Amino acid sequence: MCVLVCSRERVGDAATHLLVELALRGEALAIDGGNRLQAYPLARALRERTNRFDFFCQRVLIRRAFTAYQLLALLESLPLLTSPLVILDPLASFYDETLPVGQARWLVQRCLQEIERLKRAAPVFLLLRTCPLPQRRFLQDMVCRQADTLFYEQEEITSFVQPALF
Amino acid sequence: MARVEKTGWLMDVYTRPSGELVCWLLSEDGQRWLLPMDFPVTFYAAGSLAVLRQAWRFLRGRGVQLSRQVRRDLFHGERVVLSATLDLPGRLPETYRRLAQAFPVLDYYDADLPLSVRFVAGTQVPLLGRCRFETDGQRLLGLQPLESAWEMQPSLPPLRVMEIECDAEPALHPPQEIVIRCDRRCYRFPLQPLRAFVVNLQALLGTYDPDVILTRYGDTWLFPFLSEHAPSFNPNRDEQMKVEFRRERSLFAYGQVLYRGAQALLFGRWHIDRCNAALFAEIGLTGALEMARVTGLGVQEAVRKSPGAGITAMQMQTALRDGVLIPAVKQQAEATRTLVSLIRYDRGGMVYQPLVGVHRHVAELDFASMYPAIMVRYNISPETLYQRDAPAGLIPRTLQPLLVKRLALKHCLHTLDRRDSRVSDLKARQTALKWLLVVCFGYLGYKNARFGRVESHEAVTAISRELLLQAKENAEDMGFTILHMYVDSLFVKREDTRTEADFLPLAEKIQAETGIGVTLEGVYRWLVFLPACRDQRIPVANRYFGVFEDGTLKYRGIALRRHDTCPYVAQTQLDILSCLAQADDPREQWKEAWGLVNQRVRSLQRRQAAIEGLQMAVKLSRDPQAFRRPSAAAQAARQLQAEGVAVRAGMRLFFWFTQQGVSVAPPAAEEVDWDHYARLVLRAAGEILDVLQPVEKKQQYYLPLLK
Repeated sequence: MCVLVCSRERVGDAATHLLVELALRGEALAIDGGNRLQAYPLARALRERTNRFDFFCQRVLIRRAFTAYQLLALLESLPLLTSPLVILDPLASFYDETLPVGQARWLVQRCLQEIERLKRAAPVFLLLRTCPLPQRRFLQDMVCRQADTLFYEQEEITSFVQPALF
Repeated sequence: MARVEKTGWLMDVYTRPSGELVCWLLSEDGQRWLLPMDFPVTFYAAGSLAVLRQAWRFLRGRGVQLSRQVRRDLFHGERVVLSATLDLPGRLPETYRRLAQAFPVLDYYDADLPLSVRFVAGTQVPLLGRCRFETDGQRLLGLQPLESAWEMQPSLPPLRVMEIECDAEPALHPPQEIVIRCDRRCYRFPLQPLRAFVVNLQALLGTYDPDVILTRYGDTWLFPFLSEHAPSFNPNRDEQMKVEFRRERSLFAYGQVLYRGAQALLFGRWHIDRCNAALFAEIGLTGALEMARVTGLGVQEAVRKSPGAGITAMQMQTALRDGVLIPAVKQQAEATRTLVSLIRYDRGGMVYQPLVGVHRHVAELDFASMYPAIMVRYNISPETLYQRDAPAGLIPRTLQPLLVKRLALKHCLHTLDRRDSRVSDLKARQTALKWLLVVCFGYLGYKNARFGRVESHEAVTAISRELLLQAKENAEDMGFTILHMYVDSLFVKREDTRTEADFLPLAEKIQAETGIGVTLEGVYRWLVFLPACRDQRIPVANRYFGVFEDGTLKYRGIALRRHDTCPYVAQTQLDILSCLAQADDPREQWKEAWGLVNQRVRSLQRRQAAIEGLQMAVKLSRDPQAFRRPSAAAQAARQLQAEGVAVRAGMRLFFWFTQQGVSVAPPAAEEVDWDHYARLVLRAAGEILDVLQPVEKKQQYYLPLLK
């Protein structure tokens, strides 16, 4: 399992690049856990790389989960795949303050068990956004501990910006 | 007391700390009753039989009646479930919480429903509905409905209302005086000494015994303040209950950050904080009662929650009546689709960009409650997806009576004279229903909706696009020019059409072809579609202003409609529109309108405008520390924080532009940035007037004013 931790904005771009490369090589399934998949940029990026746009578009399969429970149900419903699996922003819905922390921890554990099952058959890529809530940072750590390969993308340090003079 | 039978209204239900359910009833003789009632409640768990057996053992001996049942899940069909019934409804949340903690792997149903929804579905007596009840003075022994929630002219309980206001905004200045209005009398009490104030308030509550306490800042200041400084004060009618406080929160909904202030809920009477009730300003008490009546949510809940919570409650009632299980969490995920399919189907409503400029004798045709009507007519519901000739789904069955009632109220409004005393109440009621219908579509795709499904959501927009295209073709067949189409409305004109009667055949034809009701919003004497501010060649959807034949103005997408426009600028823009409305063609009044702008700008330059009219309002899109640039909102937030005010995302802040930046306190006249306000007025004027004349003419009006 390969995990990339990056900023919220970068998840979409990273997914676009990864999915284009995968689609050019075969079928790929993208599971969007945080509404991060950018369909139009992905289509444009594919068009830049091939003139058989329709054909390659069919190779990108998508499923969206809008809640933590849906993500778990979705992972549970997946059979062992032969094509790569890309999971975008899987923890987005786990940061929802209406989801109790204990429940979130249990759901992440269950999701990781499912990912463990799936990665035996095909490569799994997780694109995580940096946790915005310090009190739920442990969820990100749980996922990262499970990674076979882990990439951290340094976040740009933002602070008060001096307004332009002109 | 002997057993008596009364008729009256069911006002509310709640549970006491002991867990028993209490009904608040108002009998026709004016007596208020708080009567406990036996009302067992049931929730269910489903999953593997081995785990269910463990759950059974876990619950045994905890005062829960357990049984094995087969019940229907909307998505999974019939399921074997463990049914757990509690005699005391107030004990259910804790029992469920413990069970879910011990067995998170199980699926839970009917476990977190609002008590009032459960009660209404179980007894068929709607909240605020007339009913017959039996009591021995100690308990409620029987309850029968005499009225349905869908009654067009429901009988109204005679409510006693008390209004409480303070003399300052508590977040900025500690209030000194409290004004209490009740039964046409007005009382003013100093807040200090507090003991005297509390004694007076308690005495007034005892004397007038109000059913509704309407406050300003009651949620966020008055009741928390009294609870802290006078803990023995109890404003509830039910003396066994204490005020229930709920914490404040910021949430992301409807594409924006919303702030919900803390809440203070009462028992045996209602407390409504005008400043913390989402729709109250628009629908008032009458609308709030209507919302509670049809949704089954208590009045205090209905006014504070979003209409989405109301629609969910209605769906829950339908499910309970049909014996369908209501999942505690939604688990159905989207089916696998290709990128092409996502791009093709995940779209919104149809927009046909407008033809920029002035148009005369234009008709606006609207599909009446288009999305809900589509959901009903095309049977769109999560369980009917991909099915032909399926029986009516849960969502259409929920929406059907709501749609019928709203259209009937709207029709009734059309038949009444504007000065009729019933108009305001009917308007409030139909607006309350309108909001429920507005959100019902969004809730199909909402992540936390119990019976939502994103594919159903997409189906509705797909059908709406098709219908709008059909309407366009019908109009063009009849020789009309389409000026603009926006989701559920279209603007058309034809050389020979002037009056409403000329456009009615088109409305009828579209209605006949599409099967969805079409209303003629009106015929504009003239209508102006505005271009983009940055480029006059680019049209902008849903940005226009115009005047109907009867002189009524309608405007969308201009400064006047924005919440962050200060009253002075908004009034100027409204006056410009009124000035233009005097002519048959707005271009004829262009110079007069500029004269008006001139006058307003000069008034600012002479510092003659009232400070209150210059107050800006802005909604914080994020927490103050998350701002990266020192925008006006960020500055205002930091000033408030420096004064010790807790500022959170979604809050509405008020401030003035000053020479130093912004000020959250009213500034002195010499501190105000008058030039900034003059520029705002000019920008608002230009937004309307620029499109009416060529560029070179504009210069001669703008430049002198800018000097």
